[in-house]
Amino acid sequence: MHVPDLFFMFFTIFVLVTASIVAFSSNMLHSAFTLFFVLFGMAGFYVLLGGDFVAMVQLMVYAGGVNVLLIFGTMLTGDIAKPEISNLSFQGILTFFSGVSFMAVLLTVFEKTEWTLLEKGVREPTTAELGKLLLKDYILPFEVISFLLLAAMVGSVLIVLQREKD
Amino acid sequence: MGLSAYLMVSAGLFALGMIMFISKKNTIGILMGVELVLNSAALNFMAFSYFTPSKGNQLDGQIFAIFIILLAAAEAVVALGIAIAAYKEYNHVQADELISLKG
Amino acid sequence: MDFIQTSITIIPFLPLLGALVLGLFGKKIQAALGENMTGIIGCATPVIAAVLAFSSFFVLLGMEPEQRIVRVTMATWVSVAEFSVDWAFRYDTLTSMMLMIITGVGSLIHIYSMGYMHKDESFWRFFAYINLFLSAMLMLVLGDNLLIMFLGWEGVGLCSYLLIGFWFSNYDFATAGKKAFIVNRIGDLGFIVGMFLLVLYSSLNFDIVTLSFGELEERALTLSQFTIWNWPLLEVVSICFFIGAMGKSAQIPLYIWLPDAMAGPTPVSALIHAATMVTAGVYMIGRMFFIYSLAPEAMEFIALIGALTCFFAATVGMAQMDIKKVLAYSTVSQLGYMFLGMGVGSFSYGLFHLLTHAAFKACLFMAAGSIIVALHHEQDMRKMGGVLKKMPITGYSFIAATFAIMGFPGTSGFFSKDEILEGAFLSGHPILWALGFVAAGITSFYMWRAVFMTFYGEYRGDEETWDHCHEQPKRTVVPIAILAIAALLLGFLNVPDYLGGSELFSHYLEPFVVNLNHQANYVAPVLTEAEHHRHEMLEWGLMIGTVSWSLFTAFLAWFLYIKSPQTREKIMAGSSPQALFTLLANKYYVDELYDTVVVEPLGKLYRFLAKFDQKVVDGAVNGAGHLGRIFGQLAGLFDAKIVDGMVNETAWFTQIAGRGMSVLQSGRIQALVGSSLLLISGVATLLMLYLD
Repeated sequence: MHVPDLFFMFFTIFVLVTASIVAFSSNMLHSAFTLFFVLFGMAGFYVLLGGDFVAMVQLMVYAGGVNVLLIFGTMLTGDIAKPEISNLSFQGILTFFSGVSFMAVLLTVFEKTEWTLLEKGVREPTTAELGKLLLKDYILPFEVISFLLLAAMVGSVLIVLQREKD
Repeated sequence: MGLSAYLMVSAGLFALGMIMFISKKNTIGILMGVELVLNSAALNFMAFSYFTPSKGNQLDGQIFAIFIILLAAAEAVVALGIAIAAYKEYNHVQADELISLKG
Repeated sequence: MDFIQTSITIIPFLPLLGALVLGLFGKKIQAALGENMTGIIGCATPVIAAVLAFSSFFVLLGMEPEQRIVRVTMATWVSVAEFSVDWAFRYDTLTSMMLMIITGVGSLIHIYSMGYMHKDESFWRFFAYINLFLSAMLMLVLGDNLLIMFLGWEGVGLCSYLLIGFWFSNYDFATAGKKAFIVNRIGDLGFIVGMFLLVLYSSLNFDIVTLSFGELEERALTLSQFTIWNWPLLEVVSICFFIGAMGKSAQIPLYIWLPDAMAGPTPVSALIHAATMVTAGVYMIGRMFFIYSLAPEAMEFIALIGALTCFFAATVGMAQMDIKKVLAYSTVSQLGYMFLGMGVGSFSYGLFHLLTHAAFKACLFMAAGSIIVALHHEQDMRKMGGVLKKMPITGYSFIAATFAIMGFPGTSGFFSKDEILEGAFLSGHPILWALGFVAAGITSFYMWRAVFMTFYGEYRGDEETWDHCHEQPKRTVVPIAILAIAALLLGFLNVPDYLGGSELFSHYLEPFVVNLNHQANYVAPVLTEAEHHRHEMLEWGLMIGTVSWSLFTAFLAWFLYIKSPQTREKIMAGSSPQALFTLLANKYYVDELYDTVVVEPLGKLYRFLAKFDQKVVDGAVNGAGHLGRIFGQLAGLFDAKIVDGMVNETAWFTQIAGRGMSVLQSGRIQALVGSSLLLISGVATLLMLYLD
């Protein structure tokens, strides 16, 4: 067993356990904080898959930005003193059946498909290459998504401000 | 570890995300479920990028992962904005009670 | 070559431009710049066109006789399958002659109109119309194919209608315009049918049909082999086109519109109903002589119609009291001469008569118009007399033109009419010649009668008018005088062989209009010296006979109207001459005949149809209405009980179903997502099961 495989098994267990806590915790704040570990574990997977830059982005944007945003959101909207009210679940039967059946379908598809695989994956620095790609082949999506981000920011501020005017 | 191992992890993550999405009463919880689903998709892209040959650049999958992360950021911003606006309107963010679409 | 191409491209569009300018802005121009300026704009276009036409003619004269043809193709007009017609003009010797007549006489008449239409409030409208007419007429003669010719053909018809009904507030005038239009339309149908037949049979045998005259000439022999219901194709086509000519050129039985057309202003009568438009039929036959040459029976028919028209119109002319009516019937009669000439195969003589007639008849009309204006719009010759003293230029011009029309030796009418009559005599049908011969004398009689009644003797109108009567202004009399000189001298263009001439005009036309007896397949009888001599004697004899007969009738007119009116009154007192006079004065009751045979039955038919409509159709409609009501009541019952029941049941069912389904619409997006996830799983499972 190689070292990367060991790391993989560790991250697998780590991510699935923390994700379960996020999913099933009855305290909203716990979920929000545990999500940080899930995202961290994902960054680990990315490193294993040769995506050093993506892993850094994952940590900085997701764990550092989005997750903090979610924690703020939880704190601003929820009654933290009453966690049992703030994070109840419902539609149990529907959830169970749809979740299980869809996962079964996914697993079956993954198993049955015959993937064309490389002899061996490559792990080498990708930042420079990604930079070139983003500014050459993917320049249009890159610009579009920049604009989308700007629009999203302006839009969310606008939504909140309008409510305040009323 | 091979491709299918990663795919199974991502499938598990996806299922957990969907479960959150469907069952959580809190809007922020639903948002977290969406983040899990998005992460599982990004993991798939990364895995395929690493394990399978690409017709274009080998790093295309990683580019898509980056885009997913950026989209998630945008989505989180907008969704939280809506959640806060809803909180100001109704004083709660319980999804099972935000049902003005009920027929 | 280039000059001709440019000028024939410009010529028809110049008057069109004038018509557009005057038609659109004429009222403002007249209000702002006055009548004179309007008239100058109106006259400028035909004058420029005339200058171009005459210079083109001299350029053409400088070319080899065989090459005197110029074509201009401007654009493709219609192109459908093998049918492809161009916007193309053709300029050859025949066209050049027509162009000179139209623009030359047209210019003079335009200038004359400035005097005639003076102080008419619609001065500008008149010039707009007459410019438009000129444009259409030029299009007619310049067209390289039948379709362009037809365009002009219809255009002149329209303008004729507009100008006859120029003073449309007068009901009779407006009706006269309508009559002209409808009668022309009947003729046009013939033209169209002829054109369709040519297209049909050409497209059956050739790859492309352009309807151009050159093409038709090449194909005429091939086409002559076809038959329609055992009739030779070209005979039928010729007759069809001739029906068109009957309408346009006022031949029996479609001549009835022309005398009524005198309702229009006199310049219009001179230009359209004497010099140009009515000769379009003659021109058309000249242009398509190659088809007519292959249709001998149609030719005989044309000759017969021409001779009959010539004779009958002349007799009617003897009994008319309205000076313009006399001239109108005279026009019909002279057109008859032209068709007689065409019909016996002397195409160039028919066309020559067209030329001379344009000059003397335009002159006569303009002089008559001048008198009418001077006498305060009096047209009745019984209230004229002695006018020569007051209006010498007009009077002498009128008399000069009268000499021309009677065929006095040396004048233009003498040469042209003489040639036609000779052709008729040699055609083998003496009756044609006889009709023409008698008509020549009658022509002389009624023309001199008009002269004597108008210009000599004592004035028979009221004093005041007589005092105001004076010679017209220069712009009126100068064109008249010019035309009078032309009427006297034009004849020398075509002096026949036996009088020591060389038939310049016929030879000029020869490359493009070939008389029957000059065509390649004509077998000339071989004449011995004696026979040749006899032939010449015959020509002299015919000429002398015609001239002396005309002089005799002229003398008769002088005797009856100047020397001893008592004799005339004595003759007229007899019952049979009086009956004859009444018959002629009433134009053989042809209008009444048409009224009884065509107009009345049609009216009856319409009234019957109206009754039918009222009683039967309306009844049926009302019955249907009743039925409909009963049916409606039944249907109402059915509707209330059964249909409404069904509708209500449907509504009820929908409500129940909706209630059931609305449970699903909980407004919870999560539920929707969950259910869709389940559905997707189910479908994916099924797909996997079945695809394996």
